[in-house]
This record gives sequence, C-alpha cells and structure tokens, in this order.
Amino acid sequence: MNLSTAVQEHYAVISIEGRFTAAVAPRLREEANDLVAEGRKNIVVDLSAATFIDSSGLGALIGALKTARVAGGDLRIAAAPEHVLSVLRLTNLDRVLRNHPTPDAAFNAG
Amino acid sequence: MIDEARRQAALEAMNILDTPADERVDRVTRLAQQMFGVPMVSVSLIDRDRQFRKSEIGLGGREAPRKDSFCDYTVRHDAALVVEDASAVELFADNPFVTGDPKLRFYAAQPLRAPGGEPVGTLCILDTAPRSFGEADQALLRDLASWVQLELARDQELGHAALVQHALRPAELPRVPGYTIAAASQAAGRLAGDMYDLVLRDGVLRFTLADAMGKGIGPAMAAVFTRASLATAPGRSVVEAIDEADVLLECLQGDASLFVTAVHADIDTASGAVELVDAGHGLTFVLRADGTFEQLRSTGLPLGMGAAIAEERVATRTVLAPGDMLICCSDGLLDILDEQDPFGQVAETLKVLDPDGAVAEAVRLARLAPAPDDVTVFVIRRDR
Repeated sequence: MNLSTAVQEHYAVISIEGRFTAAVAPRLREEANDLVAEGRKNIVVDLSAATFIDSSGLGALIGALKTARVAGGDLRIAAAPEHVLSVLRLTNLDRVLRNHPTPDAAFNAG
Repeated sequence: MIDEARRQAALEAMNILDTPADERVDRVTRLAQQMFGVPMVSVSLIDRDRQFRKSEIGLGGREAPRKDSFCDYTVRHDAALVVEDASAVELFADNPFVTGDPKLRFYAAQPLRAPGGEPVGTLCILDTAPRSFGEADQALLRDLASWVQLELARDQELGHAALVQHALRPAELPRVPGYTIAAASQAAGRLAGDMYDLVLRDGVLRFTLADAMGKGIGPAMAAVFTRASLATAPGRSVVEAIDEADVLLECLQGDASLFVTAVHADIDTASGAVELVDAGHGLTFVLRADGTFEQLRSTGLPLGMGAAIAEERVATRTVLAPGDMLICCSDGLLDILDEQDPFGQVAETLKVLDPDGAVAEAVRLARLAPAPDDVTVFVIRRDR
C-alpha cells in the first residue's frame, strides 16, 4: 500500500494505492490533519487504485471528513470501488461522503 | 511434585480443552517444525488420563493416552526435558512410545503454564531418529513455548469477555400478550460486533440493535457500550436516547476508526404503533400479513458523526396490524441470504416456519457460512 499527496490550486489530492485498512488509516488521518493545518481544507481522497477498503479505512475517511468540515472545508472521494459505495449507501453516509468520477471533478464540479 | 488437583483445575479454567484448532497456535507449531526440522510437533495439554493436542504436526491425532507419555513426565516435573536418544536413557528405553509406535528416539519439551503458574501441558518436538539439542536450541524452544502460553492465555481472556457479552444479552425475551418474539445472535468469532436488546415497559416494547462494523474485541466493546448507553434512562424517547448516544460515541469515529450503526425503536403493543430511529443501519423491515415487504429506513447517519457532520434525527413511524411481522437484522444476515432474492427467502422462511424457527434457520445458515460474519436477527410478530 502507498499513500501520496498532490497539492492543486484549490484542493489537495490524497491517493491511496492497494489495501486501505487499519495499517493505513492513521496515515490518512495524519495527512489530512497536516493539510488542514497548512490551510488546505478541501481534500479529495482518490480511491481509484485502492483494491480493498475495510471499516478502519472508512472510519479514517469519516475522521478526515470531520477534520475538514470543522475547519470550514470538505473532504470528497473519487473513483470509489463499488463495495465501498454500497457500504456508504447502506449507512446513509453517501450523503456526506460524496463520490466523484475523478479528483478533478470532485471540487471543480462544485 | 506438583499438586495434581490444582493443576487440573487451572487447566479447566483455561477453557481450551476440546476447542478447535487455532491459527495463532498452529503458526507457532509450524514455526517450531521449520526451525528444528523435526517431523513431529505438539502443543499437548495434560487432562486427567489423556493428552489433548491443541495443535499438532505429524502425530496424526488430537488425543493420546496420558499414561507413559513423555509429556506427562515433563508436566509432573514442571521442567524442560531433553531426551536426545530415548533408547540410550534407562528411564525411557522401555517406554511403549519408544519400543512401539511411533518409535520415538528424540524428545524435547518445555512446560506450558496456566496464568497462575501451574504446568498444564507442553510444547514438544519429537523425532524417530536421535538428535543433539544444545543450549541455543533449548533457549529457542523456551521462547516458542512462552509464545504459545501467551496465545493460550489470550484465548482464556477472550473466553471471559465472551461470557460477559453473553450475560449482557437479554436472558429471556419479554412475553407480550398478542405478540410472538424470537431473537438470536451468532458471533463469527468469540465476540460479536453486534448487540441487541428487547425490553417491555408499561406496554411499550423497546428494541435495540447496535452493530459495530468489523469483528473482534474493539467492535465488540463498541457494540456493548452502545447498547448500554441506549438502555440507560428508559424514560427517554428513542430519539433522545440516540441523540445522547451520538454525543457519547463521537470519540469512536476517527480516532479509533470504529463505526457503529443502530436501530432504536418503540412498539406500542396495544395499538401496534412503531416509532423507530435508524442510525445508518437500514435493516429493519415489515413483512405485512398480505406478504408485501416494507423497509423501515430513515436516512439517519451512523452514530457519533460529530457536530460538523451530524444532522437532526427524525423518527420513522408505522403500525403493525395483526399478522404483520417486524424483522430487524445485522448486515451479516445479508451475506448468508440468497443474493438474488433475499427478501423472498426471508418471506418464504417466515411463511413455512414460525418466528422461532426462522431465527434458528438464520443461525444455522450463519454457522455454515464460508466467511462468517456476526449475525443478529430478531422477529416480532403481532398475532392479534
């Protein structure tokens, strides 16, 4: 698994490659905290290369969403795999953790 | 010599006799086999007149007699034993395991102790050819035995936790005139990530299902905590109780990365009126007497989202008429139902079997599942 960050003009993209589980969850939280501390409150988590996400991964996404929202920003996800979308739908979280086809679409489309 | 009665009691308190193989212990026996290059390895527990092997390689069975066994000798003396060539040691040369099958020549063992220090078994390695076994080898075997001991004790701790969790489930379901209630829970492991509750108070049947995503100790603690929070101050409305659980659970998301969804609802048993709050759970259904299915879902988020995300919670309402059934389950049930037509399967099962039978069928399916998840299900039928 790999986690990398790319800073764009209006938002930052955190890309997750491989398995997004308890081993990675704290790293996403830290990365999101650091970005928000630098004033980058709009974050996209790009899941296009994530092969698997468990409840810890989902928990970390929610935690990071909270951090972004408290700072007045937002966290959105891009290219989430179907099993993640179905868990988000079942738990009604799809309304607060919105999925977009690409990181670019997540903030540019509004 | 050690006190046999005390030893036996300590072993029994560990609750490991006749339990299934455990990957965490098997991993150590496999490692021992590879490190020492021996054909046989065993984690043997000495129980009255037999050995129970919690894990074994190359011995071809999980039980063996205690009498004359090398492991019995090790446990009685509560000390490491190394026999490099049994045929050359007077004490063991005539031993039936040496003269007969499996024709043992080499035996090295380290006692395994209960948390109170009593020797209850051994980690032993065996060979049909003589071997030399030096200080360094003995130190290695000692380390592996400590590891096995830790795993066995952890199993005991889990067992205690499972007992507590079991005690926190409703010991018996409320009896409500005019209603039939059935409920069951089947954990994938020792502890379940979901908890339920059914309580009758002043003619109102209040039910709760809390489901923490994931399996194991963390989710089990979260589920137990949620149920306890919801059960406190039963005079609160279901919306109030969920709102307050939200606040208490806020720390779980993010820091501990745990998700808890819940359903908390009241049924006024006289009128059949249902008031339900769904916190991201979404798995409550009404099967009407005419066979139609309704999903009772509100659009509420899981518990503990925090002020930045949370929204106002609104109750969903319906009425159970005579012959209607309310079904509430954890998502583990979805995994074991017919993917194409889960509702059809539930309706059919409830048509053929009564609520008790249907719940028992769910538990049976959960036990058969190839990748088991925690399953909790309850059914409340208004009979008249």
